[in-house]
Amino acid sequence: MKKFLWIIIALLVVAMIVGCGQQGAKGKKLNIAFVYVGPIGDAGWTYAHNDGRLAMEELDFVEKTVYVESVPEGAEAVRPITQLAEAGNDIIFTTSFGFMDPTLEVAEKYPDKVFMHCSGYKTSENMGAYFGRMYQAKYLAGIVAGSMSKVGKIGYVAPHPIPEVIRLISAFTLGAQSVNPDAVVHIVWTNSWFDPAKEMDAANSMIELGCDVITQGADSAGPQQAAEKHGVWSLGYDSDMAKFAPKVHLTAPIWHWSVFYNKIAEQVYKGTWESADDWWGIETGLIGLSPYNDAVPQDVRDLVETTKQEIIDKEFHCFNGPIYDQEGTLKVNEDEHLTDEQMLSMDWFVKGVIGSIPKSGE
Amino acid sequence: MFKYKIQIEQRERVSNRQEALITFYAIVAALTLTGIFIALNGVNPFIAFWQIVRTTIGSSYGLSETIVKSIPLIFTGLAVAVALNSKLWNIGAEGQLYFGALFATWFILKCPALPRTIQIPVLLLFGFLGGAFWAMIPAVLKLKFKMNEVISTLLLNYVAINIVDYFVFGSWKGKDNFPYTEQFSMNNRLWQLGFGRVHAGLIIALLLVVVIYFLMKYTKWGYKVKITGSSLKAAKYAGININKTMFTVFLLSGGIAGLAGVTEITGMQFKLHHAISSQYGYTGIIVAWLARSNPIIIVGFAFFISVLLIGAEMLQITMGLPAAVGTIMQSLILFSILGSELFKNYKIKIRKGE
Amino acid sequence: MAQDHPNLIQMKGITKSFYGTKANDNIDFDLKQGEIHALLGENGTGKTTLMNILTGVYFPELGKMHFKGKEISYKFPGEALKIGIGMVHQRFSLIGNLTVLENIILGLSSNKFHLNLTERKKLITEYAEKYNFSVDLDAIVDKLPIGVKQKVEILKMLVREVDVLIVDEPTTVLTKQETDNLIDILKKIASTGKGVIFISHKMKVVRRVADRITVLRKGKNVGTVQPEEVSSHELAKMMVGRIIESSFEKTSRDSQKKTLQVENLHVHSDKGLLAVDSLSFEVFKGEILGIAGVSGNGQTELAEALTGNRKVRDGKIWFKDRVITNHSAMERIDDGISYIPADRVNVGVAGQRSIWENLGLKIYRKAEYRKGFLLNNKKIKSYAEKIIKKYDILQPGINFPSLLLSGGNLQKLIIGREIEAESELYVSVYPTRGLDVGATDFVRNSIMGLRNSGKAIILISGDLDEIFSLSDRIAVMFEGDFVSVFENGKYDVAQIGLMMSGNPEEEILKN
Repeated sequence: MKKFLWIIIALLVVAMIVGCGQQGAKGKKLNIAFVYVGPIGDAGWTYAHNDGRLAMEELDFVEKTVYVESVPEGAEAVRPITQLAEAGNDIIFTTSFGFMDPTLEVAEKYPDKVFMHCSGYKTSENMGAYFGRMYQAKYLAGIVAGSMSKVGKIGYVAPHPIPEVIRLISAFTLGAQSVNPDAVVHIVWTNSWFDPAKEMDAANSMIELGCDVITQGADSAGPQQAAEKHGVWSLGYDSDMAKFAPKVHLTAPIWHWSVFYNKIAEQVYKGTWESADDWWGIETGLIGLSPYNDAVPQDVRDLVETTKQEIIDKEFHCFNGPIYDQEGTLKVNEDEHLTDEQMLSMDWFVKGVIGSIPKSGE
Repeated sequence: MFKYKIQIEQRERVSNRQEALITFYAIVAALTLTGIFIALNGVNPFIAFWQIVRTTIGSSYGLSETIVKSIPLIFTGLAVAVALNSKLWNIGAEGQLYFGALFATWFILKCPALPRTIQIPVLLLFGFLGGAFWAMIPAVLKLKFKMNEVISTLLLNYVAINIVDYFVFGSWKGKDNFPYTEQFSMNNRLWQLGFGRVHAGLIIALLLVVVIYFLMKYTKWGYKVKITGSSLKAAKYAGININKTMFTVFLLSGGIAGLAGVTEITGMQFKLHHAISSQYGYTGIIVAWLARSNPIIIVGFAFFISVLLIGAEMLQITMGLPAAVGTIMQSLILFSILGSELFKNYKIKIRKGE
Repeated sequence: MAQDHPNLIQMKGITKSFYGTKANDNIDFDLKQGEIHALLGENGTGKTTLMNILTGVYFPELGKMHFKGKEISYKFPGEALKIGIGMVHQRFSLIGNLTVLENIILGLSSNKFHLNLTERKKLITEYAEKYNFSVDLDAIVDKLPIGVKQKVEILKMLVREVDVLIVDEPTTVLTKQETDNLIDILKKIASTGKGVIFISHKMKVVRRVADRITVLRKGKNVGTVQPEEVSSHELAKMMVGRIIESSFEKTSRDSQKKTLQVENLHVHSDKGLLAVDSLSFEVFKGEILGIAGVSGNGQTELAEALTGNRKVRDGKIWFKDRVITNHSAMERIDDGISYIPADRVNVGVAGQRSIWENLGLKIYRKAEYRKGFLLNNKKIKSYAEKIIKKYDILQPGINFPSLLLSGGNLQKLIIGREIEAESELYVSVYPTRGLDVGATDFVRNSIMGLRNSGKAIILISGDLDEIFSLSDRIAVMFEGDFVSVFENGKYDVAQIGLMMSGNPEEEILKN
């Protein structure tokens, strides 16, 4: 035993010397870090961000990128963010809303580094906020779903009742109703961002309820697999999920984070970066639809394309009035549309969504 | 012929020293297996282990963070150990932790402005009560309806987290509509000890260790708990009210886990949200087991496990290893400890053959 | 006879120690084909250890073993069975919720992937018939009486074609009839050329069953004899090294002060059936009331009801003129009632806790063993040391768990603890069951001592000799009630035997 211990100690000493020698001098090229809320996996939210990270590695002014995955939200996240700053990274992207306050806290301590937080609203001198107008892609996906549904009942596996999720469900519903005014969207909350089994169960129960199209706001491919098994149409989310349901996957509203990340990296490299609260729309290419299933007819594709162009040309807004809420109250008058602020704090569903939001406030 | 032969012999019993040695070897075995896994990822395991040491106890920031993370683990480890003393399996420390945080937050929202020296003890009390309340359910199920506590405590964890979600996604959510409460004001926060983020929860945890140690060793109640844990029939024979004893054990265990919840939200998070625990309730089981339920040794193992957890996180940054390394390391340790039970009952001898 | 047959087993100079004490000290032992060789000795003299060494559970420090002339060298426990040495332990290794057949074929090595149950059953039935077993192969083991379980264990060994069968204390739990049946079976097995090693501390049974007897005392081989060569007296002397006097000095009985009075007592069994049925009796200060009866007639339930370990359904209990019917077990301890339970290992002590904690079980609550709020463990420990010394309890150290104690020492611990508690009433249930001669002697003397110092004692026993030699009055219990209560000496063994099977006193007087 003693001998064994000595061998370990000896090896550790060697490792120390070798390890120290490897610390090379830092060049001007950028080191970029990511903090992920989940594991990268093979589809979904974190996977899409990671694609963006990998794309940045191709840029010639990027030295290297690192990431920490499965980081708990809240104060626990302060440590990995600090350690990434401490390890000499120039830009740190944190990609979940629960990282907002921790990112802000660390940003204050490292004023010469750039922090970018996804899906929040707080910014500071060296911390920017960013997100994409996914509701636009969800609206387009709604058009596809509404056109393909025979019975006009669509199932939506929903993660947590926060404004972002509520907004996407509403936009999707409006999209479906634009081609089928009677379409309804059933929702089941899973209260989780990633829970394949629960999400599959939720999809199954809505298929049993008679829904003939399934989509999702959560991360896993569970709902896609359920749809494939029962032979009902499905739409993925975050990243192209066709590989999980090749027969029934129609399309998916997806993120092309590289568009945004490459831009930020370039700005920081050139020294032109300034803190902002970015909310990029479909015109930037940050969001869009993944390739269609062959079953989607040409006229539907054309309709999606025209609507998309109208959104880009600002001729059309997804939340154009008149919009009624679930109780039938008029929330948006004709010729008006929701402001960004209203959308960001949305806590009501449009008419046609079957399901409720836990009450808030007193 | 073979020069050596291996023989397996049954053991009479193991001494404390042998038991400690067996635990030590089990950990060494687990780390060796982890090392192999790390090597398969193309990283020199010795450098990786060195990185774990360097980034945790080797730097003042790392050390402070390691201590911060061991605070909830001391609480949950103690919670599990107290129950184990009377042969009860509390797999529900996770849920009790959340309930402790829930009760304390309720008080903060109702009555946020008492002076700090009054507010903090009240919050600790509420947290204790919350955890104890959540542990009372499996206690009643076991004592009244003979339901196995392993299953009930485990399942109630999910219920507890969903109840917390119900509040933080509902009526308790902050002005920005995100699923967490508003930040707690200063008088609702534990004192910082001036070393990184280390907070007064550490002092509370260490005091509790001493209290539990004395409670188990030097009180009538502890005596009763230990006898009950050894044999229900013997406890009954000795006039011990076993239902009452087990009930109080459940409440104490749950209360301690509840304290983990309060100290976490008032010392670290400063708000209640979905992810206040990084599986501390479950990791506490490993801590209690490694420490053989000894409160003082629990402190050491809580620290050790938190070195591994933080070290594994740092391996992602410094060596590009996946987050799974940490989970694998923990599982392997548990697995090795379970496997080492064999060596408590048998000894293996290598003898020179004739 | 067997003596001419070749040796199956030869053990030479076997030595093994645990924690510094020699459990086996240079022991020689051999077994021939076709014989039953008994290992006789008190509890804790190393009989089981010796056989555990023979079967590879422990390795000897010194000594050599040969099986059929070849030296044995084990690598792991379980190897013994493979070469043909099988042991039936005191604690059976059967799986309760499987059938007899499943238990027997479990672990049979041949044909790993295919279970041909009908074929196996036929084979096992052949074995059973060959050795005169009557066992239902499809019965669930848990539901079988203990005697039948033992047969299953033996059958298990026979099916595995062992050449040597070791049975450890097989008769402790058996009725007389079951014992007779077992002896027949073992003789039959030996007659087929196998060797049987019979471990026991019961002289009478050993004399009946064995061809040769080897006596162990304190880990040493005292000698090997043939039963017809020695008298019981000589054999007993070999075992204990001294002669046991089984007569007691009895002081005259005290006044007619009632310590306990029971009226119209009703108590349920675990299954909810009426176990004690409208029972009324009293016990006086300074007397021993012996309760005889076939076990299972409500004796244990009565003892538990008296000591607060079982609920009283109806009736009243007075203790020193106070009604204590609803007192809890703890209150009754404080009242002054001590209980020496039948199940020493699981009820009498908390096995995994230390010896000192178990000795302190009755006093730790007292104020004098506390320092303020905290327990004074030092004082409890010195109290424990005192009992250990006074009652001569052999133990490895007071911090060791009490499950390491041998049966006799465990009973000494319990009785010592209860005597020191200075109660008024002692309820003792089967206090000498399974104990060796020396420990039995100690227990009986202790009980007599308690009586002579003015305590009241209820002695529930299945051993009529014990009842006769100790009791002042005797009650015979049958189906939850006393058939009769009378002064010791009024009836003889045969008459009491009749009462035990339910014949009322009047009928016996008529004959």
